[in-house]
Amino acid sequence: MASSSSSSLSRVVVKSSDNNLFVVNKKVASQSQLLKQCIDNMEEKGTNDVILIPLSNVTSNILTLVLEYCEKHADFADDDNNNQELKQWDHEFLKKFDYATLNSLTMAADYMVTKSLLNLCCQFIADSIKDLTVQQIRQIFDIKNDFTPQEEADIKNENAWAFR
Amino acid sequence: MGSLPIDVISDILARLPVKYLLRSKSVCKSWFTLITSKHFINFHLRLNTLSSSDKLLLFSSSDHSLYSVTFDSLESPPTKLSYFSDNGPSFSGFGGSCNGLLLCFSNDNNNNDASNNDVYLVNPSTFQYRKIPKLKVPKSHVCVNYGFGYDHKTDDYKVIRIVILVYGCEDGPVFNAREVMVYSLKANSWRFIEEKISDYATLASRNGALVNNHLLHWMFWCISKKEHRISSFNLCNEQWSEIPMPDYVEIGLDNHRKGLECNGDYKKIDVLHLGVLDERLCLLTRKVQNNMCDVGMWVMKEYGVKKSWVKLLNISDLNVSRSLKVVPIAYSERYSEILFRTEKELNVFRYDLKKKRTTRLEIPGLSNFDGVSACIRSIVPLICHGEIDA
Repeated sequence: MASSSSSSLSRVVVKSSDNNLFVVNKKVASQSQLLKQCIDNMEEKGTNDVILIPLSNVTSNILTLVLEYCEKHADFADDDNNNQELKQWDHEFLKKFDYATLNSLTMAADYMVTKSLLNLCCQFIADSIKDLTVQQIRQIFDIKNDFTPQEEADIKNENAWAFR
Repeated sequence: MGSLPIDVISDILARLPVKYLLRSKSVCKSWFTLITSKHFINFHLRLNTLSSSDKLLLFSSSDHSLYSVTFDSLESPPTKLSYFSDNGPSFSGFGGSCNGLLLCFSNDNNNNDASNNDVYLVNPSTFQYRKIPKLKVPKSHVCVNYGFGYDHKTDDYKVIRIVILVYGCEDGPVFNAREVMVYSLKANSWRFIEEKISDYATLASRNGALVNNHLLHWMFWCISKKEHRISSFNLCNEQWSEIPMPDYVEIGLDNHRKGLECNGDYKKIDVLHLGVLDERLCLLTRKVQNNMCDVGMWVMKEYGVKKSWVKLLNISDLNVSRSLKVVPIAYSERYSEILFRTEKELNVFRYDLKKKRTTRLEIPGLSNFDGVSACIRSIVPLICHGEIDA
Protein backbone atom coordinates (compact mmCIF):
# COMPACT_ATOMS: atom_id res chain seq x y z
CA MET A 1 0.00 0.00 0.00
CA ALA A 2 1.38 3.40 -0.96
CA SER A 3 1.71 5.59 2.03
CA SER A 4 0.67 9.19 1.66
CA SER A 5 3.19 11.92 2.32
CA SER A 6 1.13 13.57 5.06
CA SER A 7 0.28 11.86 8.33
CA SER A 8 -3.29 11.35 7.17
CA LEU A 9 -4.49 7.79 6.85
CA SER A 10 -6.74 6.76 4.00
CA ARG A 11 -7.58 3.24 5.12
CA VAL A 12 -7.65 1.12 8.25
CA VAL A 13 -7.87 -2.61 8.87
CA VAL A 14 -10.52 -3.83 11.27
CA LYS A 15 -10.33 -7.29 12.81
CA SER A 16 -13.47 -9.15 13.89
CA SER A 17 -13.69 -11.35 16.98
CA ASP A 18 -13.36 -14.45 14.77
CA ASN A 19 -10.14 -13.07 13.29
CA ASN A 20 -11.28 -11.91 9.87
CA LEU A 21 -9.73 -8.76 8.49
CA PHE A 22 -11.68 -5.97 6.80
CA VAL A 23 -10.02 -3.13 4.92
CA VAL A 24 -12.14 -0.05 5.41
CA ASN A 25 -11.62 3.39 3.96
CA LYS A 26 -11.41 6.21 6.45
CA LYS A 27 -14.61 7.98 5.50
CA VAL A 28 -16.60 4.77 6.04
CA ALA A 29 -14.80 3.90 9.29
CA SER A 30 -15.46 7.40 10.65
CA GLN A 31 -19.17 6.57 10.86
CA SER A 32 -18.15 4.68 13.99
CA GLN A 33 -16.94 6.98 16.78
CA LEU A 34 -14.87 4.11 18.18
CA LEU A 35 -12.95 3.62 14.90
CA LYS A 36 -12.75 7.39 14.33
CA GLN A 37 -11.18 7.85 17.75
CA CYS A 38 -8.55 5.19 16.95
CA ILE A 39 -7.76 6.87 13.62
CA ASP A 40 -7.56 10.34 15.20
CA ASN A 41 -5.20 9.04 17.89
CA MET A 42 -2.90 7.47 15.33
CA GLU A 43 -2.92 10.57 13.13
CA GLU A 44 -1.99 12.69 16.12
CA LYS A 45 1.06 10.51 16.62
CA GLY A 46 1.92 11.19 12.98
CA THR A 47 2.14 7.56 11.89
CA ASN A 48 1.99 6.53 8.26
CA ASP A 49 1.50 2.85 8.99
CA VAL A 50 -1.77 1.19 8.24
CA ILE A 51 -3.41 0.58 11.59
CA LEU A 52 -5.17 -2.54 12.75
CA ILE A 53 -8.18 -2.15 15.01
CA PRO A 54 -9.29 -5.36 16.74
CA LEU A 55 -12.95 -5.56 17.71
CA SER A 56 -13.15 -8.34 20.26
CA ASN A 57 -16.96 -8.08 20.62
CA VAL A 58 -18.10 -8.17 17.00
CA THR A 59 -18.23 -11.28 14.79
CA SER A 60 -17.48 -11.01 11.08
CA ASN A 61 -21.14 -11.65 10.16
CA ILE A 62 -22.26 -8.66 12.18
CA LEU A 63 -19.25 -6.51 11.28
CA THR A 64 -20.10 -7.01 7.59
CA LEU A 65 -23.55 -5.58 8.29
CA VAL A 66 -22.27 -2.64 10.31
CA LEU A 67 -19.80 -1.80 7.55
CA GLU A 68 -22.52 -2.12 4.90
CA TYR A 69 -24.51 0.45 6.86
CA CYS A 70 -21.47 2.73 7.32
CA GLU A 71 -20.61 2.55 3.64
CA LYS A 72 -24.10 3.65 2.63
CA HIS A 73 -24.20 6.44 5.18
CA ALA A 74 -20.71 7.71 4.38
CA ASP A 75 -22.12 8.91 1.04
CA PHE A 76 -24.53 11.24 2.81
CA ALA A 77 -23.83 14.31 4.89
CA ASP A 78 -24.24 14.12 8.67
CA ASP A 79 -27.40 16.19 8.62
CA ASP A 80 -28.94 14.15 5.85
CA ASN A 81 -30.71 11.66 8.11
CA ASN A 82 -34.06 12.86 6.82
CA ASN A 83 -33.18 12.04 3.24
CA GLN A 84 -36.06 9.92 1.92
CA GLU A 85 -33.85 7.59 -0.13
CA LEU A 86 -31.65 6.92 2.86
CA LYS A 87 -34.63 6.34 5.16
CA GLN A 88 -36.06 3.84 2.69
CA TRP A 89 -32.70 2.09 2.46
CA ASP A 90 -32.40 1.94 6.27
CA HIS A 91 -35.80 0.35 6.58
CA GLU A 92 -35.12 -2.25 3.87
CA PHE A 93 -31.76 -2.96 5.47
CA LEU A 94 -33.17 -3.78 8.91
CA LYS A 95 -36.30 -5.54 7.65
CA LYS A 96 -34.26 -8.56 6.59
CA PHE A 97 -33.09 -9.52 10.06
CA ASP A 98 -34.53 -11.77 12.75
CA TYR A 99 -34.52 -10.67 16.39
CA ALA A 100 -31.24 -12.51 17.13
CA THR A 101 -29.42 -10.64 14.36
CA LEU A 102 -31.04 -7.34 15.33
CA ASN A 103 -29.88 -7.96 18.87
CA SER A 104 -26.26 -8.48 17.80
CA LEU A 105 -26.37 -5.57 15.39
CA THR A 106 -27.71 -3.27 18.11
CA MET A 107 -24.98 -4.40 20.49
CA ALA A 108 -22.32 -3.85 17.83
CA ALA A 109 -23.70 -0.36 17.06
CA ASP A 110 -23.58 0.41 20.77
CA TYR A 111 -20.04 -0.97 21.16
CA MET A 112 -18.71 0.72 18.02
CA VAL A 113 -20.52 3.98 18.93
CA THR A 114 -22.34 4.24 15.65
CA LYS A 115 -25.05 6.49 17.05
CA SER A 116 -27.28 6.72 14.00
CA LEU A 117 -27.32 2.93 13.55
CA LEU A 118 -28.04 2.47 17.26
CA ASN A 119 -30.95 4.94 17.05
CA LEU A 120 -32.21 3.20 13.96
CA CYS A 121 -32.08 -0.25 15.59
CA CYS A 122 -33.78 0.98 18.78
CA GLN A 123 -36.58 2.62 16.80
CA PHE A 124 -36.98 -0.47 14.63
CA ILE A 125 -37.17 -2.80 17.63
CA ALA A 126 -39.59 -0.45 19.41
CA ASP A 127 -41.82 -0.36 16.32
CA SER A 128 -41.78 -4.12 15.95
CA ILE A 129 -42.48 -5.01 19.60
CA LYS A 130 -45.15 -2.45 20.35
CA ASP A 131 -48.08 -4.61 19.29
CA LEU A 132 -46.83 -7.69 21.11
CA THR A 133 -48.23 -9.01 24.37
CA VAL A 134 -46.20 -8.73 27.54
CA GLN A 135 -45.59 -12.49 27.36
CA GLN A 136 -44.26 -12.23 23.78
CA ILE A 137 -41.94 -9.39 24.80
CA ARG A 138 -40.55 -11.55 27.60
CA GLN A 139 -39.85 -14.33 25.10
CA ILE A 140 -38.08 -12.07 22.61
CA PHE A 141 -35.91 -10.42 25.25
CA ASP A 142 -35.43 -13.72 27.07
CA ILE A 143 -36.77 -12.27 30.32
CA LYS A 144 -38.15 -14.24 33.23
CA ASN A 145 -41.27 -12.85 34.87
CA ASP A 146 -40.14 -12.17 38.44
CA PHE A 147 -43.39 -10.58 39.65
CA THR A 148 -45.82 -12.40 41.93
CA PRO A 149 -49.28 -12.71 40.35
CA GLN A 150 -50.52 -10.10 42.82
CA GLU A 151 -47.76 -7.61 41.90
CA GLU A 152 -48.45 -8.08 38.21
CA ALA A 153 -52.18 -7.57 38.74
CA ASP A 154 -51.49 -4.37 40.69
CA ILE A 155 -49.45 -2.89 37.85
CA LYS A 156 -52.20 -3.79 35.39
CA ASN A 157 -54.81 -2.14 37.60
CA GLU A 158 -52.79 1.03 37.94
CA ASN A 159 -52.61 1.39 34.18
CA ALA A 160 -55.83 -0.41 33.28
CA TRP A 161 -56.49 1.64 30.13
CA ALA A 162 -53.13 0.63 28.65
CA PHE A 163 -53.94 -3.06 28.86
CA ARG A 164 -57.26 -2.82 27.04
CA MET B 1 -32.41 -10.24 23.18
CA GLY B 2 -31.48 -10.97 26.74
CA SER B 3 -28.00 -9.56 26.54
CA LEU B 4 -28.70 -5.95 25.59
CA PRO B 5 -27.22 -3.47 28.06
CA ILE B 6 -29.70 -1.52 30.19
CA ASP B 7 -28.87 1.76 28.38
CA VAL B 8 -29.90 0.22 25.08
CA ILE B 9 -33.08 -1.28 26.60
CA SER B 10 -33.85 2.18 27.92
CA ASP B 11 -33.28 3.65 24.45
CA ILE B 12 -35.69 1.12 22.92
CA LEU B 13 -38.43 1.51 25.54
CA ALA B 14 -38.33 5.33 25.37
CA ARG B 15 -39.38 5.05 21.72
CA LEU B 16 -42.52 3.06 22.48
CA PRO B 17 -45.86 4.87 22.40
CA VAL B 18 -46.92 5.70 25.98
CA LYS B 19 -49.60 3.02 26.08
CA TYR B 20 -47.11 0.24 25.28
CA LEU B 21 -44.50 1.76 27.53
CA LEU B 22 -46.90 1.57 30.49
CA ARG B 23 -47.67 -2.04 29.57
CA SER B 24 -43.96 -2.84 29.57
CA LYS B 25 -43.83 -2.01 33.27
CA SER B 26 -45.31 -5.47 33.85
CA VAL B 27 -42.60 -7.35 31.93
CA CYS B 28 -40.21 -7.74 34.88
CA LYS B 29 -38.97 -5.96 37.98
CA SER B 30 -35.91 -4.42 36.35
CA TRP B 31 -38.02 -2.95 33.52
CA PHE B 32 -40.50 -1.62 36.09
CA THR B 33 -37.69 0.04 38.04
CA LEU B 34 -36.22 1.43 34.83
CA ILE B 35 -39.49 2.88 33.46
CA THR B 36 -40.51 4.46 36.77
CA SER B 37 -37.07 5.97 37.40
CA LYS B 38 -36.62 9.73 37.25
CA HIS B 39 -33.71 9.28 34.86
CA PHE B 40 -35.84 7.38 32.35
CA ILE B 41 -38.82 9.75 32.66
CA ASN B 42 -36.53 12.69 31.84
CA PHE B 43 -34.83 10.82 29.00
CA HIS B 44 -38.25 10.00 27.51
CA LEU B 45 -39.25 13.66 27.91
CA ARG B 46 -36.14 14.91 26.11
CA LEU B 47 -36.64 12.45 23.27
CA ASN B 48 -40.28 13.49 22.85
CA THR B 49 -39.48 17.19 22.92
CA LEU B 50 -37.60 16.63 19.67
CA SER B 51 -40.24 14.69 17.80
CA SER B 52 -43.25 16.26 16.14
CA SER B 53 -45.29 13.06 16.39
CA ASP B 54 -45.09 13.42 20.18
CA LYS B 55 -46.32 17.00 20.23
CA LEU B 56 -50.03 17.23 20.80
CA LEU B 57 -52.68 19.81 20.22
CA LEU B 58 -55.40 19.41 22.83
CA PHE B 59 -58.94 20.69 22.67
CA SER B 60 -61.49 20.92 25.41
CA SER B 61 -64.77 20.57 23.60
CA SER B 62 -68.11 22.02 24.60
CA ASP B 63 -69.23 18.51 25.63
CA HIS B 64 -66.51 18.82 28.36
CA SER B 65 -64.30 16.10 26.86
CA LEU B 66 -60.68 16.42 25.87
CA TYR B 67 -59.56 15.68 22.31
CA SER B 68 -56.03 15.40 21.00
CA VAL B 69 -54.28 15.37 17.65
CA THR B 70 -50.55 15.15 16.92
CA PHE B 71 -48.66 17.99 15.24
CA ASP B 72 -47.74 15.87 12.25
CA SER B 73 -51.38 15.00 11.50
CA LEU B 74 -53.23 18.20 12.27
CA GLU B 75 -55.69 17.57 9.48
CA SER B 76 -56.97 14.26 10.83
CA PRO B 77 -59.88 14.05 13.26
CA PRO B 78 -58.80 14.49 16.90
CA THR B 79 -59.04 11.48 19.19
CA LYS B 80 -61.43 11.74 22.11
CA LEU B 81 -59.66 11.01 25.40
CA SER B 82 -62.67 9.00 26.49
CA TYR B 83 -60.95 7.61 29.57
CA PHE B 84 -61.50 11.01 31.19
CA SER B 85 -65.11 11.32 30.04
CA ASP B 86 -65.85 7.83 31.38
CA ASN B 87 -63.95 8.04 34.63
CA GLY B 88 -62.83 11.53 35.40
CA PRO B 89 -63.94 15.11 35.68
CA SER B 90 -65.18 17.17 32.76
CA PHE B 91 -62.87 19.89 31.55
CA SER B 92 -63.67 23.34 30.30
CA GLY B 93 -60.35 24.92 29.43
CA PHE B 94 -56.59 25.03 29.91
CA GLY B 95 -54.33 27.17 32.03
CA GLY B 96 -50.91 26.12 30.78
CA SER B 97 -48.73 23.14 29.97
CA CYS B 98 -45.29 21.97 31.03
CA ASN B 99 -43.38 18.71 30.46
CA GLY B 100 -46.47 16.90 29.24
CA LEU B 101 -48.66 18.02 32.13
CA LEU B 102 -51.64 20.32 31.69
CA LEU B 103 -53.36 22.72 34.03
CA CYS B 104 -57.07 22.23 33.36
CA PHE B 105 -60.20 23.96 34.61
CA SER B 106 -63.43 22.21 35.32
CA ASN B 107 -66.82 23.59 36.16
CA ASP B 108 -68.44 20.38 37.28
CA ASN B 109 -70.59 22.35 39.71
CA ASN B 110 -72.21 24.12 36.78
CA ASN B 111 -70.88 27.28 38.25
CA ASN B 112 -71.25 30.32 36.05
CA ASP B 113 -68.44 32.13 37.77
CA ALA B 114 -65.29 31.09 35.91
CA SER B 115 -63.06 32.33 38.72
CA ASN B 116 -64.58 29.66 40.93
CA ASN B 117 -63.64 26.71 38.68
CA ASP B 118 -62.04 23.56 40.01
CA VAL B 119 -58.42 23.24 38.98
CA TYR B 120 -56.77 19.98 37.92
CA LEU B 121 -53.35 18.82 36.84
CA VAL B 122 -53.67 16.32 34.03
CA ASN B 123 -51.30 14.11 32.09
CA PRO B 124 -53.24 13.44 28.88
CA SER B 125 -50.76 10.72 27.81
CA THR B 126 -50.99 8.53 30.92
CA PHE B 127 -54.53 9.61 31.90
CA GLN B 128 -53.37 10.49 35.37
CA TYR B 129 -55.00 13.52 36.92
CA ARG B 130 -55.05 15.25 40.24
CA LYS B 131 -57.51 17.74 41.67
CA ILE B 132 -55.80 20.69 43.30
CA PRO B 133 -57.17 21.69 46.70
CA LYS B 134 -59.71 24.41 46.21
CA LEU B 135 -58.82 27.96 47.22
CA LYS B 136 -61.39 30.57 48.06
CA VAL B 137 -61.45 33.60 45.83
CA PRO B 138 -61.45 36.88 47.81
CA LYS B 139 -64.71 38.80 47.47
CA SER B 140 -63.24 42.00 46.09
CA HIS B 141 -61.47 40.29 43.19
CA VAL B 142 -61.38 41.80 39.73
CA CYS B 143 -59.81 38.85 38.01
CA VAL B 144 -58.14 35.54 38.75
CA ASN B 145 -55.24 34.19 36.72
CA TYR B 146 -53.24 31.00 36.77
CA GLY B 147 -49.83 29.86 35.63
CA PHE B 148 -48.13 26.48 35.68
CA GLY B 149 -44.50 25.41 35.50
CA TYR B 150 -41.61 23.43 36.91
CA ASP B 151 -39.14 24.41 39.62
CA HIS B 152 -35.96 22.52 38.76
CA LYS B 153 -34.26 23.60 42.01
CA THR B 154 -36.66 21.60 44.14
CA ASP B 155 -37.84 19.24 41.37
CA ASP B 156 -41.44 20.31 41.92
CA TYR B 157 -44.35 21.36 39.74
CA LYS B 158 -46.01 24.59 40.82
CA VAL B 159 -49.28 26.35 40.07
CA ILE B 160 -49.45 30.11 40.60
CA ARG B 161 -52.69 31.93 41.25
CA ILE B 162 -52.79 35.70 40.93
CA VAL B 163 -55.84 37.60 42.11
CA ILE B 164 -56.24 41.28 41.35
CA LEU B 165 -58.27 42.98 44.06
CA VAL B 166 -59.85 46.38 44.39
CA TYR B 167 -60.18 48.00 47.79
CA GLY B 168 -62.21 51.15 48.14
CA CYS B 169 -61.88 53.38 51.21
CA GLU B 170 -64.96 55.24 52.36
CA ASP B 171 -65.21 58.43 50.30
CA GLY B 172 -61.53 57.94 49.64
CA PRO B 173 -59.33 56.57 46.90
CA VAL B 174 -59.53 53.12 45.40
CA PHE B 175 -56.57 50.79 45.74
CA ASN B 176 -55.57 47.93 43.52
CA ALA B 177 -53.83 45.03 45.12
CA ARG B 178 -52.27 41.82 43.91
CA GLU B 179 -52.40 38.54 45.81
CA VAL B 180 -50.11 35.68 44.83
CA MET B 181 -50.46 32.06 45.97
CA VAL B 182 -48.32 29.07 44.99
CA TYR B 183 -49.37 25.44 44.93
CA SER B 184 -46.66 22.77 45.18
CA LEU B 185 -47.37 19.32 43.73
CA LYS B 186 -44.93 17.69 46.16
CA ALA B 187 -46.58 19.23 49.21
CA ASN B 188 -50.03 19.08 47.64
CA SER B 189 -50.89 22.39 49.27
CA TRP B 190 -51.10 26.12 48.63
CA ARG B 191 -48.78 28.68 50.14
CA PHE B 192 -49.28 32.44 50.44
CA ILE B 193 -46.57 34.48 48.71
CA GLU B 194 -47.68 38.08 48.89
CA GLU B 195 -50.48 40.58 48.85
CA LYS B 196 -49.59 44.13 48.11
CA ILE B 197 -50.93 47.39 46.82
CA SER B 198 -49.93 47.52 43.21
CA ASP B 199 -49.90 49.99 40.40
CA TYR B 200 -50.27 47.06 38.04
CA ALA B 201 -53.92 46.41 37.60
CA THR B 202 -56.04 44.32 35.31
CA LEU B 203 -54.33 41.52 33.54
CA ALA B 204 -54.54 41.69 29.83
CA SER B 205 -53.45 38.07 29.45
CA ARG B 206 -55.15 35.24 31.26
CA ASN B 207 -52.62 32.47 31.76
CA GLY B 208 -48.96 32.79 32.57
CA ALA B 209 -46.67 32.48 29.53
CA LEU B 210 -44.00 29.93 30.42
CA VAL B 211 -40.37 30.18 29.27
CA ASN B 212 -37.65 27.68 30.21
CA ASN B 213 -40.17 25.75 32.33
CA HIS B 214 -39.70 28.04 35.34
CA LEU B 215 -40.30 31.63 34.23
CA LEU B 216 -43.96 32.68 34.10
CA HIS B 217 -44.97 35.94 32.45
CA TRP B 218 -48.02 38.12 32.61
CA MET B 219 -48.92 41.40 31.03
CA PHE B 220 -50.21 44.06 33.38
CA TRP B 221 -51.73 47.48 32.82
CA CYS B 222 -49.67 50.06 34.65
CA ILE B 223 -52.24 52.57 35.90
CA SER B 224 -50.02 55.57 36.53
CA LYS B 225 -48.05 55.25 33.29
CA LYS B 226 -51.06 54.13 31.25
CA GLU B 227 -49.14 51.43 29.43
CA HIS B 228 -48.69 47.70 29.35
CA ARG B 229 -45.88 46.08 31.29
CA ILE B 230 -44.54 42.55 31.35
CA SER B 231 -43.62 40.97 34.67
CA SER B 232 -42.01 37.59 35.15
CA PHE B 233 -42.36 35.33 38.15
CA ASN B 234 -39.47 32.94 38.75
CA LEU B 235 -40.80 29.64 40.10
CA CYS B 236 -37.45 28.74 41.68
CA ASN B 237 -36.84 31.83 43.82
CA GLU B 238 -40.50 33.02 43.76
CA GLN B 239 -39.47 36.59 42.90
CA TRP B 240 -40.93 39.05 40.39
CA SER B 241 -38.91 40.92 37.82
CA GLU B 242 -39.58 43.23 34.89
CA ILE B 243 -39.19 42.36 31.23
CA PRO B 244 -38.82 45.26 28.76
CA MET B 245 -41.42 45.78 26.05
CA PRO B 246 -40.41 46.30 22.41
CA ASP B 247 -39.72 49.84 21.28
CA TYR B 248 -42.88 50.64 19.43
CA VAL B 249 -45.01 53.64 20.31
CA GLU B 250 -47.83 52.39 22.39
CA ILE B 251 -50.89 54.53 22.13
CA GLY B 252 -53.19 53.49 24.87
CA LEU B 253 -56.91 53.74 25.18
CA ASP B 254 -56.91 57.15 26.81
CA ASN B 255 -54.56 59.05 24.62
CA HIS B 256 -54.84 58.00 21.05
CA ARG B 257 -55.52 61.64 20.34
CA LYS B 258 -51.77 62.07 20.64
CA GLY B 259 -51.45 59.60 17.83
CA LEU B 260 -53.76 61.65 15.70
CA GLU B 261 -51.58 64.68 16.16
CA CYS B 262 -48.41 62.77 15.35
CA ASN B 263 -49.53 61.08 12.23
CA GLY B 264 -52.28 62.98 10.57
CA ASP B 265 -54.32 59.85 9.97
CA TYR B 266 -55.97 57.65 12.56
CA LYS B 267 -53.38 55.26 13.93
CA LYS B 268 -53.41 53.10 16.99
CA ILE B 269 -51.37 50.20 18.27
CA ASP B 270 -52.93 47.86 20.80
CA VAL B 271 -51.28 45.10 22.72
CA LEU B 272 -53.40 42.00 22.30
CA HIS B 273 -51.67 39.22 24.11
CA LEU B 274 -48.51 37.85 25.61
CA GLY B 275 -47.56 34.27 24.85
CA VAL B 276 -44.66 31.97 24.08
CA LEU B 277 -43.39 30.64 20.77
CA ASP B 278 -40.53 28.18 20.65
CA GLU B 279 -39.40 29.07 24.19
CA ARG B 280 -39.40 32.77 23.40
CA LEU B 281 -41.70 35.46 24.70
CA CYS B 282 -44.14 36.51 22.04
CA LEU B 283 -46.18 39.69 21.97
CA LEU B 284 -49.17 40.29 19.74
CA THR B 285 -50.03 43.81 18.71
CA ARG B 286 -52.74 45.27 16.53
CA LYS B 287 -52.35 48.32 14.41
CA VAL B 288 -55.43 50.12 13.18
CA GLN B 289 -54.91 52.54 10.35
CA ASN B 290 -57.72 54.08 8.35
CA ASN B 291 -60.05 51.13 7.92
CA MET B 292 -57.31 48.55 7.84
CA CYS B 293 -56.04 46.61 10.77
CA ASP B 294 -53.27 44.08 11.03
CA VAL B 295 -51.82 41.94 13.76
CA GLY B 296 -48.10 41.94 14.43
CA MET B 297 -46.30 39.07 16.11
CA TRP B 298 -43.14 40.01 18.01
CA VAL B 299 -40.64 37.65 19.60
CA MET B 300 -37.92 38.37 22.13
CA LYS B 301 -34.94 36.56 20.61
CA GLU B 302 -32.69 36.94 23.60
CA TYR B 303 -34.44 36.61 26.92
CA GLY B 304 -34.67 39.87 28.85
CA VAL B 305 -32.91 41.96 26.19
CA LYS B 306 -35.05 44.86 24.96
CA LYS B 307 -33.16 45.27 21.71
CA SER B 308 -33.78 41.65 20.77
CA TRP B 309 -37.52 42.14 20.24
CA VAL B 310 -38.16 41.60 16.54
CA LYS B 311 -41.37 41.66 14.57
CA LEU B 312 -41.73 38.18 13.20
CA LEU B 313 -44.72 38.65 10.98
CA ASN B 314 -47.78 40.66 10.09
CA ILE B 315 -51.21 39.18 9.60
CA SER B 316 -53.73 41.28 7.73
CA ASP B 317 -56.32 38.51 7.20
CA LEU B 318 -59.46 40.14 8.57
CA ASN B 319 -60.66 36.91 10.17
CA VAL B 320 -57.64 37.20 12.42
CA SER B 321 -56.91 40.89 12.73
CA ARG B 322 -60.45 41.85 13.78
CA SER B 323 -60.51 39.25 16.51
CA LEU B 324 -60.63 40.41 20.09
CA LYS B 325 -57.67 38.29 21.09
CA VAL B 326 -54.93 36.51 19.17
CA VAL B 327 -52.92 33.95 21.10
CA PRO B 328 -49.87 32.01 19.88
CA ILE B 329 -50.08 28.24 20.47
CA ALA B 330 -46.95 26.71 19.03
CA TYR B 331 -44.21 26.83 16.46
CA SER B 332 -43.75 23.77 14.32
CA GLU B 333 -40.23 23.61 13.00
CA ARG B 334 -40.94 20.65 10.77
CA TYR B 335 -43.66 22.40 8.82
CA SER B 336 -42.20 25.87 9.35
CA GLU B 337 -45.50 27.21 10.53
CA ILE B 338 -46.95 28.96 13.54
CA LEU B 339 -50.19 27.92 15.16
CA PHE B 340 -52.31 30.49 16.92
CA ARG B 341 -55.86 30.91 18.02
CA THR B 342 -58.35 33.72 18.00
CA GLU B 343 -61.06 34.64 20.49
CA LYS B 344 -63.97 35.31 21.21
CA GLU B 345 -64.98 33.07 18.43
CA LEU B 346 -62.46 30.33 19.02
CA ASN B 347 -60.59 29.30 15.89
CA VAL B 348 -57.17 27.83 15.26
CA PHE B 349 -55.08 29.27 12.44
CA ARG B 350 -51.79 28.21 10.93
CA TYR B 351 -49.37 30.71 9.48
CA ASP B 352 -47.01 29.35 6.84
CA LEU B 353 -43.67 31.11 7.39
CA LYS B 354 -42.44 30.34 3.87
CA LYS B 355 -45.55 31.30 1.92
CA LYS B 356 -46.47 33.99 4.46
CA ARG B 357 -50.04 32.80 4.34
CA THR B 358 -52.71 32.28 6.99
CA THR B 359 -55.19 29.43 6.81
CA ARG B 360 -57.85 28.37 9.26
CA LEU B 361 -57.34 24.88 10.63
CA GLU B 362 -60.31 22.67 9.89
CA ILE B 363 -60.81 20.25 12.74
CA PRO B 364 -62.85 17.35 11.42
CA GLY B 365 -65.44 15.97 13.80
CA LEU B 366 -65.01 18.70 16.39
CA SER B 367 -67.44 21.52 15.82
CA ASN B 368 -67.20 23.40 19.04
CA PHE B 369 -64.43 23.78 21.55
CA ASP B 370 -63.68 26.26 24.28
CA GLY B 371 -60.01 25.68 24.88
CA VAL B 372 -56.90 24.66 22.96
CA SER B 373 -53.36 24.03 24.16
CA ALA B 374 -50.13 22.48 22.97
CA CYS B 375 -48.63 19.69 25.06
CA ILE B 376 -46.02 16.99 24.59
CA ARG B 377 -46.32 13.30 25.37
CA SER B 378 -44.65 12.36 28.61
CA ILE B 379 -44.93 9.91 31.47
CA VAL B 380 -44.26 12.50 34.16
CA PRO B 381 -46.26 11.16 37.13
CA LEU B 382 -48.89 13.13 39.00
CA ILE B 383 -49.66 10.57 41.62
CA CYS B 384 -47.09 9.24 44.02
CA HIS B 385 -46.90 5.52 44.46
CA GLY B 386 -49.48 3.91 46.69
CA GLU B 387 -51.76 6.88 46.17
CA ILE B 388 -53.79 5.46 43.31
CA ASP B 389 -57.47 6.10 43.18
CA ALA B 390 -58.97 2.85 41.95
